[in-house]
Amino acid sequence: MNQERKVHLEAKVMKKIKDGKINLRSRYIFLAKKLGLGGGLTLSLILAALFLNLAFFSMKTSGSLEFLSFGRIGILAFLESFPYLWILIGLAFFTIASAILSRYDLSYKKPFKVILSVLIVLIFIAGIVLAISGLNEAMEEKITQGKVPLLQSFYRRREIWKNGLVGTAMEIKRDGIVVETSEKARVFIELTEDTLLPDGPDFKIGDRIRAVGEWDGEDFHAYALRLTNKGKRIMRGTGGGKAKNSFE
Amino acid sequence: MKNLSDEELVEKVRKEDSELYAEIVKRYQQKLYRYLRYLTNRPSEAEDLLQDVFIKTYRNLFDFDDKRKFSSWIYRIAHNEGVNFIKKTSRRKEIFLNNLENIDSVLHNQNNEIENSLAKEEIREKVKQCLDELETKYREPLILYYFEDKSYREISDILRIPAKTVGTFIFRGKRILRAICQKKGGDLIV
Repeated sequence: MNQERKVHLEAKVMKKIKDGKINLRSRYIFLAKKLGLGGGLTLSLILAALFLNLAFFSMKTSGSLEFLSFGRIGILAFLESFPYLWILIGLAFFTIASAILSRYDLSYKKPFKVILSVLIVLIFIAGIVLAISGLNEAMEEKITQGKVPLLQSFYRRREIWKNGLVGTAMEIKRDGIVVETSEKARVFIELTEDTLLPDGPDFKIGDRIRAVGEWDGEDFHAYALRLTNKGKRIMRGTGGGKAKNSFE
Repeated sequence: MKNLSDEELVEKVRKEDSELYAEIVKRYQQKLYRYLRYLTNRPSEAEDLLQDVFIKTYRNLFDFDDKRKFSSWIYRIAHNEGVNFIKKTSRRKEIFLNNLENIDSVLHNQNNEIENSLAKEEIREKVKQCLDELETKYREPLILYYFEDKSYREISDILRIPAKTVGTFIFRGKRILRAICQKKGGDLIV
């Protein structure tokens, strides 16, 4: 760049500044941008942990993993009761957090993959801690008291699946058991000679029962059935009802 | 005013006198012009790009974090402008670069000592001729290191890639560049 061009460029730029054609952007715009990014990052991480916590809570209350105790015949019920939605939403928030984080200097000053791995571990730990902290139970209680109806859909319990069922024994019959689910649905679980009973055949009214099998009209034909201690605390009604224990 | 550091000057422009920005333009126009010229290989457009860089820099002065180095920041803006320009004009030589990768792998075992034999000063002139054939990701670190005398850390801040990657790109870039120069009939080995 020769001297003449240099002077020319400098003059051009400075003329634009003097004429007010280009102005300094307000510091508050950049401050807002920084705060927005920081807030977005924090919020995304918190939401990722909260949704993972919901996934853990959902698995805990529905006892998804217990379906695996039936062996191969429990796999379908396990897959069906797995909380995919919460995990996907949690992952979506984690992706947003990663995208925001990539705008920070840290993203290239430290190995980004390591940073993301550490974040995943931290979110995982936070999710577990939240799930066992009693927060969800407290929220569930508030929802049943109608205090936070907006969160109702997050804490809706499900006990009926295509290949699985959980309920409280209400009536013991010779060829099966009538159970009541958290949605107050009464279902007859049909037992046959082929039905596996890992905990033995002695069931009594009030027992919590988990079954895998298939639907036969309105009845459930059980391949296997056992006692469970999951889902004792059950939400009653939708929003306006009172919290009750199914064993009360 | 000449004794002021870039960062102090920026502070004055932001708080006291916008006309002091002329000093920043003076300090950087030659360096950034050279950088943009090598990056884009379009001397005529480089000047327009440079003007845009100075305008963008001025507008966003409050975005500059004075804990960082101003030169890295303004080079980053120039880098973005240059890369956007390259993307717009689609001057990437994908097919040619595929061939270069092959040459690179052949050369890999032949001369690992090239890293040591290439002295910074000595290769500058020869590099210029072959630079345009090089992929942007290798070209940029090489330009910044050999022509702008930036350190790995500064290049890392400008390109927003880890300092280790900068080293790798410079190392690989030199090897590919050597292959390009050899293909062109020149010799990069000093």
